[in-house]
Amino acid sequence: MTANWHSEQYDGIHVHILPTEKYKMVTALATWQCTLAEDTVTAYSVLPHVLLRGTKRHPSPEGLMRAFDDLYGASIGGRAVKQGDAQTIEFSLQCANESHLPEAKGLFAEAFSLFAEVLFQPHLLEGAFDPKAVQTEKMLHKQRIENVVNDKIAYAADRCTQLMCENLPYGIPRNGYAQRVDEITPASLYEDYRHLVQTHDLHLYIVGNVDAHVLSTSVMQVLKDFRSETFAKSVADMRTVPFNRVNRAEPKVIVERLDVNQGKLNMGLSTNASYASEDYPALLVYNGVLGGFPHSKLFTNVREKASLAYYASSRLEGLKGIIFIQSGIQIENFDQAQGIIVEQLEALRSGMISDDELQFTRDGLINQYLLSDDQPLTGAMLQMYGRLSGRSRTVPELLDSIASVTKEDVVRVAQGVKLDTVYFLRDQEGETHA
Amino acid sequence: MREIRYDSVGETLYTEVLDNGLTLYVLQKPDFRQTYACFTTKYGSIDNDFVVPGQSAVRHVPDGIAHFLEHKMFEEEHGDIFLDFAKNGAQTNAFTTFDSTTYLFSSTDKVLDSLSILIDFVQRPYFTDENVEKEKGIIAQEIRMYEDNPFWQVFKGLLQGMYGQHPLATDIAGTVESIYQITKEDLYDCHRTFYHPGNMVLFVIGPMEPDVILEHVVANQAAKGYQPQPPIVRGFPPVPKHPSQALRESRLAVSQPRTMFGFKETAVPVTGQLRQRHEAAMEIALDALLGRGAQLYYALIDEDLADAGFGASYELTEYYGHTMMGGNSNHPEKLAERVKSALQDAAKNGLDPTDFERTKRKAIGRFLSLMDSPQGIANVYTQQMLRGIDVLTTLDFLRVMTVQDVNQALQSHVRNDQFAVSIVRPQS
Repeated sequence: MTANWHSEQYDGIHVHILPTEKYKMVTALATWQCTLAEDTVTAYSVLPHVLLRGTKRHPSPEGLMRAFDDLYGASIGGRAVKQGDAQTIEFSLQCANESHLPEAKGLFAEAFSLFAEVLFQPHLLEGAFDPKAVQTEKMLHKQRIENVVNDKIAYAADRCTQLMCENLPYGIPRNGYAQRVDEITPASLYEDYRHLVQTHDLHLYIVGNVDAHVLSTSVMQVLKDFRSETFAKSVADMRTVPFNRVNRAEPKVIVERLDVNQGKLNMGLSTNASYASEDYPALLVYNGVLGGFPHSKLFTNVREKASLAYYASSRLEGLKGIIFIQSGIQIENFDQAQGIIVEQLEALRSGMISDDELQFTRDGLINQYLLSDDQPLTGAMLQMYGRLSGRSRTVPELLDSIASVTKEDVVRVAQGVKLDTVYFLRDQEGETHA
Repeated sequence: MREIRYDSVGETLYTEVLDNGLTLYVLQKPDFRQTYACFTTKYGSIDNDFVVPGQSAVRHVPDGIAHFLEHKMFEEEHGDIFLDFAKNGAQTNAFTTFDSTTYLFSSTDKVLDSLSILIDFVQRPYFTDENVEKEKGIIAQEIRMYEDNPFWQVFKGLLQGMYGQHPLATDIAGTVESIYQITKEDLYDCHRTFYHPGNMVLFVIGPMEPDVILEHVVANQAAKGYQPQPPIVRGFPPVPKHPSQALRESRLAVSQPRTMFGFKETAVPVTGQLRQRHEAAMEIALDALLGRGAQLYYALIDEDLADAGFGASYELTEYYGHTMMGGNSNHPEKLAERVKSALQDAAKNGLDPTDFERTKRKAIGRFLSLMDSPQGIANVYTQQMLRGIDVLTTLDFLRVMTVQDVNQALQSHVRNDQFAVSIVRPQS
């Protein structure tokens, strides 16, 4: 549990290494954080895909992937992620530990060097990205944005978020906008890339059976070799602003129609707490009692007692301090399901929380955090939340603070919870066509 | 306990078959915090015809009953099993496949007690007319959820094209109509037939000593007085030789067509080892020809036939085998035709030896990543063991594999008349 990170910094590069014999793979994560903004979200979402299309040494995508394959299938992934009010550009690397492959000495060093190539030595033509690669990735990205509707559960969750956070950064779609894809050119995207690399801090995490001192020196050297200019330190404040409630007399209710068999009922709740606040552990417990587990009020009342749904749960977006509820129901049962959910919010507000509900939830959360300690990148994620919220928390601190949450704490949080947005995705039935 | 050492992956497995027939596996992972246990019966959605022990006639039960039973096991006379696990801070779940049903938990505390809860609730059916009726509304919504899911619908369409009316092509959850026919008597019959310890496997992985787990499980089982059960008589109809339909199409509210296609295996190798080798060879072939290191993968994208999610997989059991390939596509028929002819060419001309060596090395490295996931090891080992395959020997198979093995596997698999296509299109 006592994670012994070995950290080093050079200009805007931060290298964090966690040596452990627990895993048979070595995992690396490189992440840049930038502000989530309408003008930049689309290009930054396309960028990781373009960087994976080739490097100076391996200019074709299949050539690049073959180079990774040759290293016992070292795998690289790249994506842009919405994290609170920030957008992170992340690349991950997973590589078999050479101690299990006697014929593969120096495997991670080679894989890391190739990984750094993807980040810092992209394939360029006339000082910009390869136009063909950009063209293909633009087309794929447009389709990616349009295809969000194909997964109705994810689509309904996205719509609810966008409607609740209209005109706020958090309401920006994670992949950006289809119409903004057209504006991207090989030159403009390369400018965006240089801006990202030159003015944003890079955090690099490596977890696995490695020698921290040796690796940290060699990794830093690889990064220095690749850089063409100084990596400046970030100046922008990337901290997420907790959701500021709009004072609505009644929740905003939006019904949208598609040809679906099942209705999707989603709700957004504003709260008085978030990752940075003292009440965060109580907020975690509140969300757990409401809908985080099979013993929670939503699962028990919407599914087990009323047989209305297969899934009915809630999810806490900690950085923003928003709780989202999601359920799939028969379309005619909208009023009944909504009524039961609102009753659960009321019950929590009036302190109807049994000792079992409280205990099961605290123990369930503690179990989740302990389980997360078996994942190599948990520590990296917590450090990132720390940077994004301005308040750092470690697993041991979270365990202690969750264990000491009382019923009074949960009720205090419950009284600050307000139903803000109701989103219902339903069929076309009863809709009059002109 | 019998000790099996797997030097190639650096793991040791302990196993014992108990007096009542239950097979126990324990794998110790001292550095991990969690214990993960899964308790699996060799009984899934394809087992709709069988002889109940003590009876003589073949019993037929409604589609979706194995999955229905899986849901219903969580309810007991004293209440919900979720709450019993929650008392220990443990997470529980279950899943049903074509040929197995698995109950599981993961936990970091009070592990032996949770292990008792797991074994006890799976071995203690409690069905009433009322609790069976209540579940129907819940499962109906689960089925509706899948009806709106293009990924699931296109997969189901391909199974129907390949296997027609065979139980392999029926939905694991059944249909809303079929589940409404299920009675508590049906459920008791299924439980009595398939949940005997002799038809079950318990896999426990975590930091505890294997002997402590064994002792605990032996004591738990001894107290229950199970008698050995004769082999189960299953009325599994023969799998049709050829696909029943070359093309199946449906429509959904989607933005772009989605397709899956593949070859149905003509003959399934009879032993587990042969199947394991064939499966590993086919996976290498598919990765070499269609994976991200293959030129074709990018050509399909450039020709507007596929997107980055295009992929291929192979599955082989004692009953059936097939490839499944595809993804989103603006021209699904063209995509299927293009990939089919590429595989036919490869079957005729053989793989490029360099591509083979590269993908083989990749398969070796990628397999090691399974060892970092307790849940992955337990689930995959159990599923494959029930199909007669020891998955922890995979690296030994891979290391000796030759390009000839792969070419042979491809040649026997790629047959023009074994090809089927499924397409889900946007509503017009």
